Amino acid sequence: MLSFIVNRALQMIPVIFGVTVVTFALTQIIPGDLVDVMLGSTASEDARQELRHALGLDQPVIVQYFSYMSHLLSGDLGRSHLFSLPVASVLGDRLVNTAILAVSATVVATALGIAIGTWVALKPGSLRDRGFTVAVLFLNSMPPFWFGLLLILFFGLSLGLLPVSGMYAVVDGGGLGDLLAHMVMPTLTLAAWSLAIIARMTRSALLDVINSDYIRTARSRGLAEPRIIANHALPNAMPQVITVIGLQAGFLLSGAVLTETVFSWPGIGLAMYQAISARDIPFIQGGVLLLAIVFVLINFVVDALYAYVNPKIKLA
Amino acid sequence: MAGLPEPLELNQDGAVPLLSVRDLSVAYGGVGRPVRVVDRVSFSVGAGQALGVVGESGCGKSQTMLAVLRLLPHGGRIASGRVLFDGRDLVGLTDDEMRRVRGRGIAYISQDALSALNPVMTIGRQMAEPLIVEEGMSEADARQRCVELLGQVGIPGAVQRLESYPHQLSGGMRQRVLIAMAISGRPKVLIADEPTTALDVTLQAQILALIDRLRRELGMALVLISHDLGVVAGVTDSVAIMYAGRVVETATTAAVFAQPQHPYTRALLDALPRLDAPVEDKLRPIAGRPPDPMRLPPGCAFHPRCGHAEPRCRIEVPQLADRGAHHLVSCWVAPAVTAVARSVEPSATQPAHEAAPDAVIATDVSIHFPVRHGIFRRVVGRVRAVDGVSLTMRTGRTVGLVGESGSGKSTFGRALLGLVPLANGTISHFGLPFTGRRGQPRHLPRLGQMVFQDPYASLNPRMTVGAALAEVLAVHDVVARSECEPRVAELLDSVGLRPDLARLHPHELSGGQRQRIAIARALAIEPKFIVCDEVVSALDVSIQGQIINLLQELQRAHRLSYLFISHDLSVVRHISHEIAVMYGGKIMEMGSRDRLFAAPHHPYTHTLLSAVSVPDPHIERRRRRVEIRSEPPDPANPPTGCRFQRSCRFAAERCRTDEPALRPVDDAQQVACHFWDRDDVRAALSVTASAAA
Repeated sequence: MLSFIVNRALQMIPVIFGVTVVTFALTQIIPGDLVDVMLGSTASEDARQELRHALGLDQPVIVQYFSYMSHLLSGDLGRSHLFSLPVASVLGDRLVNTAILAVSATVVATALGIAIGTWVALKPGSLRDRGFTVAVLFLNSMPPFWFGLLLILFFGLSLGLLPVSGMYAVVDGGGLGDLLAHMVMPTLTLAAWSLAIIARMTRSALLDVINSDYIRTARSRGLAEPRIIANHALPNAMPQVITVIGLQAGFLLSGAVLTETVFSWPGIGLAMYQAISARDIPFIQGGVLLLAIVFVLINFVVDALYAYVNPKIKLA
Repeated sequence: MAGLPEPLELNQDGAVPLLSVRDLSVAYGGVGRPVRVVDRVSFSVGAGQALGVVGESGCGKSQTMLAVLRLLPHGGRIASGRVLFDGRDLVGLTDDEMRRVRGRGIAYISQDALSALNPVMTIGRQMAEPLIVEEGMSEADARQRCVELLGQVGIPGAVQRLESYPHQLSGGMRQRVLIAMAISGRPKVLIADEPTTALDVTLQAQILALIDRLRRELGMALVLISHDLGVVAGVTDSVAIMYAGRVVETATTAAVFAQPQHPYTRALLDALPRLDAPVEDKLRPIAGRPPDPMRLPPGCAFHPRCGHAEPRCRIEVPQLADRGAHHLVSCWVAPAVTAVARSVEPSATQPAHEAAPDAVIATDVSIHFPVRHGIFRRVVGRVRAVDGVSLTMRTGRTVGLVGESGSGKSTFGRALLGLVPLANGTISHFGLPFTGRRGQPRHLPRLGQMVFQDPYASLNPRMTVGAALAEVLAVHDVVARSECEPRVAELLDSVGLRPDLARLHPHELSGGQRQRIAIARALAIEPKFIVCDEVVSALDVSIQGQIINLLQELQRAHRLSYLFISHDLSVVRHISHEIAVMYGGKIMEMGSRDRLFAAPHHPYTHTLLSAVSVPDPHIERRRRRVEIRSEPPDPANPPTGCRFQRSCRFAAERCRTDEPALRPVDDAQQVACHFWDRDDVRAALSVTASAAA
């Protein structure tokens, strides 16, 4: 198990290296010049040349990449002109906020998804099962921001039960209770789509497993059905479900952009949205790099979980 | 006592049977058009007795047993009938009451032990679970009991095995674990569903002996399901033969084998190639195939395949009737008619010593696979799948290659077609040499073809049969495009299929038909030799014979050479002119068929022969099998000296240091053993060999 994890961790190095190449290439590929963005179209040619030189943009590409990398390795992601702060410090604050939302959405989607999927798999073809299919179709085909707007309209504006934007109330804000109240709707919005996918995958994986020979063996030995489902069927269905959860975790990162925008949640998604609108290239660069690294790490965790639930990988 | 069993429910010795199934029917599908897969089946088995249930796949034997346990898959239900066990009707029990019968009253062993064990739980945990949660044992007591159980089924080092996962055990070991789990609840009835089918022949014999021993020791009743009459012959007291969801004949084992009365039983026995019959007999397969339960023929379901069918058979369904001495048969035809044996037609096999030109010569062939490790996939070792094998195939002849799974026989077969790179050695095809270090030379596919075990997996499911055959013709420019269609029809005709099958997809065909298509595809480019890799292993007995006869006819018509790879010695003996026995990547013994079977000189050949079951209760009960003592050697780390040393009862110091070379016994036989000509070895090998033959 340990050697598997070490092996897998070492494999991340070239991937992350590749990511830096791509984020660096962003500055080269994006149409328009960074200097145009920073100085506006009215600046004189001399001022442009001066800034270009100061930023090292007149150097050959390979030299630019090495200077980019050496800054990167010392933790310097450049300066965001939108936030007037170092990119790294903005990203750090925002990452925590996004993580709060993403983790709670993942927990909700996973717990509810597995529970609902299991409940439905016990009675294939029943009324419950058919209702489930319709619900999954609905959740999967509606855009997350629209679902968020509906929630705001209903719980926030009509019923006035929940706060509709931000992380804390502006007046007398702060504290865990306040945070939780603000989290409910963004979390549900972000979780809805993944929940449907995870429930559907749990159902189909479990149905496959329930028809397998070893479940018949367990039944033929007189074990009780709830025990068979919990102890024999679910652990065998888990690898497929974990794969989907891992993919969903990646989706949550992109979903966060929309959800955070709808709920004005001060996370990376909202900041990226603002940075893209303002063409704040250093910030976009840093944000993409961070999100990519988080994505690689999530996949690493999923693979480790995979090995944990499947002894064939663990012992290989 | 109220509800005293009716006279029918008494056993032959007058005792109340332990498990008695009465008119049990199983149906699938809606109320409007239910499909009956089991139709009014009755049987009974008393404490300590053994019943064999025999029939081809799809005849309803497994469905009957799953219905007894009320474990039918989704959609199946018991349509009618009773299952009396220990004085209760199981059909009427609540789910919870039924659950308590499973495991402790009636236990079940299924066919494929790898899929029947939970892959993510250790052996110890899954064995102990019911002991702890159902019987209330403590962890430590349950563990102790598991160790005892594993010892009882012959697993050495039981304490360590408890920590293993199923995939870490060998096939035989897994089957033993499954048996240990089944007897852990001290059941009164053990239902074993094809418990030896997926195993090698030597393991088959051992597992069967184990089940038989446990039945006696624990006083259980045994219901043994098998498609193989040889398997039930030795260990059962009575036999029920099933066809199309019904019992067609049932009697004591001795009576069924000595005087089979139903034409189907007789046909099953005739279709089986057997080690104790003269090899010149042509196999007599049953024409056609078992009916689809959705479309049963009217009258007796067997009449379309029956050689004795009378007009009445096509209209009226016969019922089981007692023909004396509790021999029940459902057949309209008078016993005198069906008892007449059909004349045996000798098969036209050539004499074994006729000189034939060499087709394929393999010289000192070794095939190694690298073992890789670490992130840079460094090669850290080599699996020696095949190690120094020399073999000659001659034109128009068949070489049988036998050995257990993992012995390297399939790998060698592939190498003959250039599909696997050789580490060493050369292969020449009709004088064209080939070293096989890199890629397949262009001439090879035209010369040699391969037919695999599973025709369904080797045919593209999205292509029609005609398209699959035409593709081969087009790729190799065998005929002009315009002539493809007539040529496809010809090919289908040559393998005994109607040309209009060309429009169908593989899933619309039966297993036997698919294997014929696979053979037609191999024949399409008119090859000179064909490697047949377990081509009949997945087929029912009645169909097996059809394919073997077809292969023999094609061989005569086209002067084909076959390498016939199989673990089934009876089949190999029937079709081969020469036989090579492989073990651990090496040839142990090689020679003409008659010599090898009559006088094996290698202890391994002898062990294999002694393990083959024969459909004759008298022979089966008398015979003594030679137990294999250990698992085959690890091909990544073979022992020095003889590969068979650890399983050999004659192994001496020299076998551990010197590797025996293949040496001629005479001009018709070669053996790789240091001691083949020692008097005590020859004596020991000849005694039981003659008993088997």
